[in-house]
Amino acid sequence: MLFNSVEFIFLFLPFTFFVYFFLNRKRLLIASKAWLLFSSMFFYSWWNIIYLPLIITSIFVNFLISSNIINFDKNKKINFSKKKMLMIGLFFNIGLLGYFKYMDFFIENANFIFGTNIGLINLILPLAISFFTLQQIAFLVDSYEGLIKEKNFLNYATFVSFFPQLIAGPIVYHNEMMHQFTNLKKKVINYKNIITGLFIFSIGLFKKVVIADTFAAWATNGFDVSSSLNFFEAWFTSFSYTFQLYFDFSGYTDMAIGAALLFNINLPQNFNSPLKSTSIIEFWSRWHITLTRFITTYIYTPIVRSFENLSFSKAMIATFVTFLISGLWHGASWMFVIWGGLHGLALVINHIWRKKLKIKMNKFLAWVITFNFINFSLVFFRANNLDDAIKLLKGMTDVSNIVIPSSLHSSLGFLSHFGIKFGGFMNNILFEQGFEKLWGIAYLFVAFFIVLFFKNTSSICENKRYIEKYYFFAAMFVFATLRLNEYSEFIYFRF
Amino acid sequence: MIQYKNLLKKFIFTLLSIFLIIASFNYFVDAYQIFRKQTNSSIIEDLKKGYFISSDSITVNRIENIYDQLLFFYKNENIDTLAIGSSRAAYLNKELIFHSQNVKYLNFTTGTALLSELAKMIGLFNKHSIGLPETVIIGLDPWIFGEQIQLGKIKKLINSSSTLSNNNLSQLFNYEYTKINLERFFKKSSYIKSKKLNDIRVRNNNNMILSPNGDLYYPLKIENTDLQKFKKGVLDFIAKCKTMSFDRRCLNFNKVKNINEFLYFINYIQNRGSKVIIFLAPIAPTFYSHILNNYQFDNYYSDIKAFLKELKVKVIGDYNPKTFNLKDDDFIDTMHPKPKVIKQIFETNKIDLMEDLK
Repeated sequence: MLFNSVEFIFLFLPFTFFVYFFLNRKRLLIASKAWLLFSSMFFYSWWNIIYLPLIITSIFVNFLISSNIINFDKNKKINFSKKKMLMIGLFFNIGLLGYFKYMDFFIENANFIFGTNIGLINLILPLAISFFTLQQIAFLVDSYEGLIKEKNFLNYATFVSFFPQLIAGPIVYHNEMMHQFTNLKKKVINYKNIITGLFIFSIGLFKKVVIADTFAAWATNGFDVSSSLNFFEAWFTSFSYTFQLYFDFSGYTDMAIGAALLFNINLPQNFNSPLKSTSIIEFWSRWHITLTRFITTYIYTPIVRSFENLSFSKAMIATFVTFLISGLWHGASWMFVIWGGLHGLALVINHIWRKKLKIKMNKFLAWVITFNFINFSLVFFRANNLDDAIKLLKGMTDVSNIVIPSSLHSSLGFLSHFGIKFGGFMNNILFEQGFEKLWGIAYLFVAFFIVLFFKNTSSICENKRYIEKYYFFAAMFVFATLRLNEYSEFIYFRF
Repeated sequence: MIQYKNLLKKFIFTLLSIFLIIASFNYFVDAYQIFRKQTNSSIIEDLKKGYFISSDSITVNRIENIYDQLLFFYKNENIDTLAIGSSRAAYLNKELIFHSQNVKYLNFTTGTALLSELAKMIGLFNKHSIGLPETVIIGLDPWIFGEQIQLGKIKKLINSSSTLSNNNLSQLFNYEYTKINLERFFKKSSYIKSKKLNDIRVRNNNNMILSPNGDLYYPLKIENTDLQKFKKGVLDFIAKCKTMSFDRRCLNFNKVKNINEFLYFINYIQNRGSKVIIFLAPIAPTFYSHILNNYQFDNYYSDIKAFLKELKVKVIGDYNPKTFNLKDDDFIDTMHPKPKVIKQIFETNKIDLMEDLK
């Protein structure tokens, strides 16, 4: 079920909310938790019920392994060591992800390298597998480290499957969630949380349906529809995708945070105005924050720990490798690995700049470089293959293919001496005519203005001055709701 | 906590109020008459009622503003023949082609239409889930092969979709329908109407006239332009082409493009069981000589003809005015032949065409 669908907003969410608090009011606390679990499974099954057994098995196996890890000292019958139990758990999770997400990728590469002709298995990627697997890996490791002692299956299953964060995060840890599900103060309706949650949800819905989906059409025209692009078209396409991804994913996160808050559950912040960043290090502390937190704790730190004598260069190697893995986590394609590698490399350069060169850069210049690097790297993130990425990058760098509107010929005709052409402007991206085309260009500037000068959603909704402007949020909600007839998935649903 | 409870009440009240306002607005304006029959009139509704319309608003964005909506009303009618093209095909009037025969005919034309505009017009049938007509006459202009249009764009425009549907309460909260209704509400352009073409031609002397099936008529004063004025217009246009050679109407092309794209377009129509007829509107002799003498139009046109021959579709007309012994005063301007020319061309092809259209 999509957050941006009529059935979720007007049926599922209100119904789940009212039954949950009705059961809490009747002091049926276990039943209310079970209701949340049932609702989450229903939410998951709506997409494709075939994969329901998969998530149930994954939850069950992980709980079993973590129980054995937690009870290791008490349970003398177990022949495995605690570490072996952890390894089995990790193998299970990574194996599951590897089979469903990466099998065809491995087969394709094996066929290419060894000249074999093994058939692809063409599995549909089960929804949310990347997210619930990461969450459970973190849970197993924390159990192993002795940080968690969860023995209640219902608690555990609710934590993993809680519907607002199930599909695409934020990636949460057991110790930041479980106490919220058990806290009695959170079992009563909290109007502050409801109003804040609804406002955050409204902003997220608006970001997704009104902003991201508009940019999505133009990004698709540039990446998938057009076979060649001129200079301005290529830049417009790349900006469109950067804004689509940001507003789509941060919009989804806002909706998740807003929906969870209705149940008095605080999910961690995932975006903090990342496109304002003036360095890549800063960008990764503001973009998909919970993923950065996860890969730092569970990938970067173990790699660093594995080095005997940690040095700056070894830390940089660990950074680079971590981002390669993070890239691959996003999807089974070399394009994601290239994207991850580029970010790993940029982080290494950024660290060298800070620690070794220590040159202070003008803030605006730093922002221009950072933003353009993000924009450039996302070409690989979006492109279906290297040819598509090259097509776009070629257009972005081909200054001999600048086309400006023919209507400007009378005033700027002299520019043709410099190789600038006059013709249809943005014809391969903006299919609209006249005013609608101008609106498309204006939209890009509005998006820049929003990402650079607006506060992020959390800051807006924590500020009482803004919250009192309820009519503004209501207008956003209604405007977004008008567009719910158009089916549109979130980008991170594919990961 | 009470203040938040009050805030929540206000929020929900505001939400419901806005929803109610939008739903009422869509219900009462109801441009497509999804919910109720209208008594007040608009260009589209009057066209549907059989009026000829004259207004300055019919000259811009005709595909979106007129044909899209008009087709919505024709959803449940079987259309026999469709003509699409640029303004050079605007005179493919029903009366000239079919005389008094009972044929359900639509004529969709717009400005200097490129292949993308033709695709958009065919896309309207998809958008409203209407099968293509039995015969599609394509007014093929020379610039269609001059400016590269990408295949992906053609595919996307042909396969357009809509969230609109008939008798559906969800249209009360539909963005697309709200936008249409807002346009309808704010753009109450003035227009004159009449059920008789001659009547409106006498009353109006400035704007184009749109007929219920999409046929366009120029104002009489333009149609009756004197030869001197015509020649001055052609010479001015030639002078303009010297500085603005990229203007597609200048026909300064040396290579035929869009072959694959046009093939896809034609195949798309043919694969849906429609017969394709290509119409080539002649160009005024003075301008035709200019493009032969100054550009490589001869080669360019030969390539187009060779391509059309390979297509094995019925071709009517010729860009070359000599084929029909046409003179400058047979034209309204450089690009637009007078109705009598269209009549002459179709009279020549009458027997074949009628067989094709059967």
